Amino acid sequence: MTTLDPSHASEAFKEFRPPLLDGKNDYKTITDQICGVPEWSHSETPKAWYIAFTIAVSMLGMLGAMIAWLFWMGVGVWGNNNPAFWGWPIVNFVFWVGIGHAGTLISAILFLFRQKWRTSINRFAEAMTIFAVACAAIFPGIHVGRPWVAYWLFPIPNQMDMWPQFRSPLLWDVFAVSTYATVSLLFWYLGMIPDLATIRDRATTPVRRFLYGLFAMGWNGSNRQWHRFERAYLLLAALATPLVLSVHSVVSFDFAVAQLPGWHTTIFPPYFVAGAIFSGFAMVVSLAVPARQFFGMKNLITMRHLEAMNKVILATSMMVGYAYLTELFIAWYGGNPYERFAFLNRVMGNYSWAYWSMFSCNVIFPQLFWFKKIRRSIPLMMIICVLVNVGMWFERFVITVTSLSRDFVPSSWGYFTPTLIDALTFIGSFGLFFTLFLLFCRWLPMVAVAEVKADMPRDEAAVKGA
Amino acid sequence: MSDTDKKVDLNQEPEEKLWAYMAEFDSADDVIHAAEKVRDAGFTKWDVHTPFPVHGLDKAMGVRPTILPWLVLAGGLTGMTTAIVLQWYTNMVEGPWDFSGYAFKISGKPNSLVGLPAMVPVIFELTVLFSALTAVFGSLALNGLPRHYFAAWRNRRFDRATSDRFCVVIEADDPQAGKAKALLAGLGGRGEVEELHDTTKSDALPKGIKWAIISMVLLSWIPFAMILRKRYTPSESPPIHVVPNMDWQQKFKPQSPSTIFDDGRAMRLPVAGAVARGSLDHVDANGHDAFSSGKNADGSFLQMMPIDATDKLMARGQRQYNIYCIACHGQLGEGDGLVSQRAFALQEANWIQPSKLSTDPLIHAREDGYIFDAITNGIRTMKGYGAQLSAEDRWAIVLWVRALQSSRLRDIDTLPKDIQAKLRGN
Repeated sequence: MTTLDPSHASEAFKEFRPPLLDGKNDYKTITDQICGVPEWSHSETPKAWYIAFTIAVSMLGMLGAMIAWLFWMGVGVWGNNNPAFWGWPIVNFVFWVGIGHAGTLISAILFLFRQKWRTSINRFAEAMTIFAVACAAIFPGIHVGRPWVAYWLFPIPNQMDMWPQFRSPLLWDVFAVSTYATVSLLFWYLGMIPDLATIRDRATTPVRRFLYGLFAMGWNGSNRQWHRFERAYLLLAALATPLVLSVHSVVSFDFAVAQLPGWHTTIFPPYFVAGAIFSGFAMVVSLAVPARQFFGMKNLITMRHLEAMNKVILATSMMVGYAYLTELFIAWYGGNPYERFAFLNRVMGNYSWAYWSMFSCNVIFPQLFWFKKIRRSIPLMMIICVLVNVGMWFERFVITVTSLSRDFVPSSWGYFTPTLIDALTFIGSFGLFFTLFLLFCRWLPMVAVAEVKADMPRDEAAVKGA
Repeated sequence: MSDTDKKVDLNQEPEEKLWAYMAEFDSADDVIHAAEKVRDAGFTKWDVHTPFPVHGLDKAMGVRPTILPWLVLAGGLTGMTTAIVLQWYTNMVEGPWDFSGYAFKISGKPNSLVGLPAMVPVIFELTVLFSALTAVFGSLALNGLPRHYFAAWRNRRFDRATSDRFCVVIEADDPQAGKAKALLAGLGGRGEVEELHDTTKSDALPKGIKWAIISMVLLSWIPFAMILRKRYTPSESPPIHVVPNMDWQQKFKPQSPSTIFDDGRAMRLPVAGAVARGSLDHVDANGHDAFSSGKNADGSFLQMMPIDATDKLMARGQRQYNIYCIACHGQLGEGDGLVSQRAFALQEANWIQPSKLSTDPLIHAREDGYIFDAITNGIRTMKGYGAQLSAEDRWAIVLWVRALQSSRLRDIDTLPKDIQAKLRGN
């Protein structure tokens, strides 16, 4: 048993695998560092947090106002119109769902692959996933036209004997996204229970003890509990792995199952999944860099972690680039004139500015990560990761809008123009995302305490003193 | 817990009693060695509390594998079955009962479990969902969570078991509890062996909370009971429209009453003597319109069409025939249009084959006006096309039908000589 455990690693092993954390840490310093953040008093909390939170809440308020206006006036306040009836709302939905893929990937797939560096970043990547999926879920909900009957999406017995149509990819989407949201939330929460118990046991005020105790559900760290906990965690990882791959595949069916040139391609599921992981990792890096700075986690989320994530971004960038080129090749090789036109139009038509924004942000700029210096440069990685997210938004825009605005019949062609409401709603969704994320960083353990400890070298991490 | 513990007089001051012995260790390796010794000494009611999952401890303690994976398998199979039954019932079964499914027919795809491929995504998602729910709630239930009380929490030394200490706890109930303290002391932990105390006060939830939960659950049934009652109570009052959905608009619908006009009708009649545009073009001195009706003033059908048969009219007739008539009567007027072929393929019992316009001698023998009238007003199961086609177009179609008949029924010897020669290939 112990021979496979890197915590008992030999010196030779350590040479190949540098320690996961920077500096000298033991179990107590790790606990104090991570659980110390939720225990901050008002004066200890950095001003930056208050400023960021104020901005995020204001943006959230704007989202609420935009949605209220939409419900009052109707979908006409958006730029969606014949022929592009799927405008920004669907683009934003796919964009946010895509971002929501990195968390579960890090916690599930890297867990199954025994990538121990994941323990420093999995908690807040999972949190990011849940908040991104929450943002994503808003858009199809408010896009249905009559949002007060949005519950028709679910198979609820009713006096009209009316049921959803299960042979439609839009309904598969309902099941895929809601399953993904539920499983991600449970995965995140289950992993957090022992850490909440740690905060409970350190609590100095009765209110904190009660609240964290409530959510820790009476965890007492007994080995029999750990045994079942670990088994449940492993099972969840094994379940979440195919799930995370399925979710964006199903999202891609929304397009691929339709007949429209530019949508009706079999490459979509893998291409969407690669893109989702790509954008998700870019978002994790753009969040991790400020978070480790402001919350003092530089020794836990080290440059090696950031570099590893940048390598994943580089790899997925090339997968996405490969998919773009394959699409173009198949459009030519397939010989379907409509398909050929759709792709020529993307590259050279009136949306070519969007196509080339997408292509350069997603394929060209990430190539800079081939250089170790750039992989390890904080400002450059921030710029590239933000560009990747811009590029991935454009990818969804290109797919959705160019195909719809140039379909089979030239008489129905058109040009999509968004409205101010479109833009403010999208910006507002970032308000929701950052509000939730900032609350999470401030009040919950943002690094998985128990998981980090489990991967520390046992002899060095033990607290021998008082 | 023995029976005597439960029958505690709540009015008495609770008493402290010994609950367990605890030894504390610095490192995971130390606690593994300690656990091996406790296991070998044959203790049964004991546990090790650690801040993180210590690999190797399960073996050292002799913890048997949990049954959780089997529960998850059962959960997954339940999810799979649920998804199949849900989709089959809601989309493929239909009947006259409440909450019946609705048999969707989509693109002629099989409306049975043969259409399984389209059901796979939902089957997959529900399998994963049910498995994951079982994994989370199953592991919590097996772990006895949520729990609101644990005796060791009363001791401040135990607080660090979730941070940086590793604690072996042997309960005082253990048959060998007498040896516990000496054994733990000899394991080389840090500090003294701690005696953990419990209180004789009942550890059940406070009575108030219990009753609050029960009454909340009961109260939550009231709305459902009210909905159910409403559903089965007839009422005179109109349905409640929470969202109006454009059901009421500032407009009059056809055939509806109005208080604006004297006659109380919302619909207006044409003023007296109003004439539709073009309707007087072919009216003769007696007010009869043979051109648009295909009939003489006495009601008999016109023998000959009242319009010059030109090549242009023929072309127009072919075009209009191919738009309006071809679907049933077929391109050559043989009554074999695609609609008819499909109806026979489906063995539609009520389908009557369309007339064989070009080969039926009875139609060939009828007046031009008769065919015109059939187009205008319809005949047997065919509907009239008078509203869609102008009178001129209808005569054009009559001309084309005559042409089709000539191509099939006319004797070649009756044709002009040059055409005979052309047709014979000379």
